[in-house]
Amino acid sequence: MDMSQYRVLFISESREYLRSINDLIVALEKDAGDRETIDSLFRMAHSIKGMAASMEFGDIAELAHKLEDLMDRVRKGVLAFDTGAADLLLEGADLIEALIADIEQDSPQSRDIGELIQRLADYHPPLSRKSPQEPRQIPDKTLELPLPQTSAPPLVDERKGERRKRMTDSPQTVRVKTGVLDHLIDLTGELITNKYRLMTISSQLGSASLNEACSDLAKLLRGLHDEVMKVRLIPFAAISDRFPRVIRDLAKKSGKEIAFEVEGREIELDRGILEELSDPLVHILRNAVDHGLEPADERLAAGKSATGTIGLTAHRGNDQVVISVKDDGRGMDPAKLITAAIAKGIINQEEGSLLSAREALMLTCVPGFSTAEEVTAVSGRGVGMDAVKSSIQTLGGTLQIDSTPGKGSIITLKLPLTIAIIHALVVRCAHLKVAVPTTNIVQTMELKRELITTQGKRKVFSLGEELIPLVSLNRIFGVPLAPITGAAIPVFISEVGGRKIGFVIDSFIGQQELFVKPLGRPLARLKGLAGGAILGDGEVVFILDVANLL
Amino acid sequence: MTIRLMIVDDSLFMRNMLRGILESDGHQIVAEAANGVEAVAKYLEFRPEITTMDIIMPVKNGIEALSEIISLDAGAKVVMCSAIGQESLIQTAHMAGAKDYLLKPFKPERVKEVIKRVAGA
Repeated sequence: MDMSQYRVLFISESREYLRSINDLIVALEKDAGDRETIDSLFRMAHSIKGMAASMEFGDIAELAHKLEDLMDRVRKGVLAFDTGAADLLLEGADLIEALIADIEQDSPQSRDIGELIQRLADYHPPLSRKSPQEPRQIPDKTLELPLPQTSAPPLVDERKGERRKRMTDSPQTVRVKTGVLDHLIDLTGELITNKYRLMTISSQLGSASLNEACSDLAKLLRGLHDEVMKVRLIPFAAISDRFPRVIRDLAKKSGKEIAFEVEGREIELDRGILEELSDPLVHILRNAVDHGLEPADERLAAGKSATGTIGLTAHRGNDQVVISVKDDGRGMDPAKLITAAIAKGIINQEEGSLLSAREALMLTCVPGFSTAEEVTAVSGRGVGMDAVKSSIQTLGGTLQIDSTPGKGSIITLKLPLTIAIIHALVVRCAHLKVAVPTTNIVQTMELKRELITTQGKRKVFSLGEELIPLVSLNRIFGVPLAPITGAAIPVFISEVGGRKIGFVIDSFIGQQELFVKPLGRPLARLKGLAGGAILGDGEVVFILDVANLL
Repeated sequence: MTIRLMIVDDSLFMRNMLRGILESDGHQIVAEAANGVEAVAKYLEFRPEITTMDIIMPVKNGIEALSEIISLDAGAKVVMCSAIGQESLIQTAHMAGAKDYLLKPFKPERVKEVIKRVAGA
């Protein structure tokens, strides 16, 4: 029988099981008596074994079989589930994952599974001081039950209608290749570009009926866009569920005690964003463990509990998803950061004195900056907060740091709901049209000239109590400045590195949806540009990456 | 002869594989279920001629589902699927009314043979 047709499904389903196995092991460590979790772990190892055996992947089948055996011993109360068992099971899951990756890449490696198999088979927990935690005595739900003697059969016919209704109510799902979803959003994006083209033609022709057809088309496209976006949404849990395992490993390596809490697992994000978010979040969590949280003795001396807490939260804001990582560790001192940055030659004394507390905290995101006195096994040298920041910005998001010395830090990421199709404000700078994602705009205004003052070399104006520096977008792009006419100049305000900046432009053109396309080489290397898009009249606009513009 | 079948297994991979084997033999899969509860409900809805039933499943295991189906329809033809090394479970299933069993990993020829035999019985 040709099994190659089932390979992709084998890989994806095994990975799903492995992910759950990771989560469940970490959960079981917290509540070793949870019968349902024990059963699930047993069942999942069993499933992987069955699939691998069918595919004739002997190593995986054998490993899974040993994991299943170990869980079976736990199930039967022969073996207590302890840290040693958890470590072995996790090691086994990791090795299976590696073997699956080999299969996926068609690159069989010689991996020694024998040694781990031996350890799994031989595992006996060291005699503990207290008696091992017995699995809670809940009747075994899965197996080897005395068969229920047939009681009065339910009245089938009467209940049938109700049952059928319930089945149609339950959401039916299908599996779709992710490539298809990407293609759908691409097509929708092209359609939206085309809609603007039609609208341009329609207004040139002055045809009322074409105009009407265009506005119907616009409505339908909005509906299509919404639906396509919806199928691309994946709950935050898809990545956050593996973090307890990450934290567990980090805690072990660093010898710190950590309580990890996740909130907002159900919050949905675009697949494309979620995929790019995993690595930056792991970096941030790593930094929190390594640089944020103090060792237990230091915490106790500071009057804190020995166990440090890291909280990961996701929630929906207005057209945004806000994700934050909060720790109750030692926090960061802006003054110390400034001193360190000056010592490293990243900024000079004068620049240092001008930085606000929030700007000083952002120094941690400057390449080459690290406050860690030593390189540690966990995060190395201040692991790339600069890399984290730039990947968040590439997604059209922002990163903010808040910290109180002695109390802890909060890293907040604000992300757009989607990256492929965005709302943008198109503005003019001399002959250039440039699009600014509306999520990056705090405010637009016609600024009266007399409100502009000069501070040192900078032009500034006050907005409420804030003094906002003005920057000319024309000057940044090296295009001619507009002649000074009129009493007011158009300005949009954006946040750059936690600070509001007013960008002066020639004029506002209007707001519209844009289908963002990557620029490709060599344009993609230009700082401050997030991509390109085509307007209705066929003109190409650059999309501004405001955060990286200055 | 086309036989109308239902496949019960919590693994999509296993269901697909079994479907592949059975369809290649000209049979029709009228329903699939991923656990015992779904299996009982779909049995009543689709009334398959033969049901293949995995044993180790979440929510409700295969043996419980088998018993429930037999209690609702004494003539139900259910073939149990199980991994090697679980022969004791097959014994239990047999006493609960299972007509036959298939061992995993599935051997296509054996699957086809068992299904034909059970259908003819």
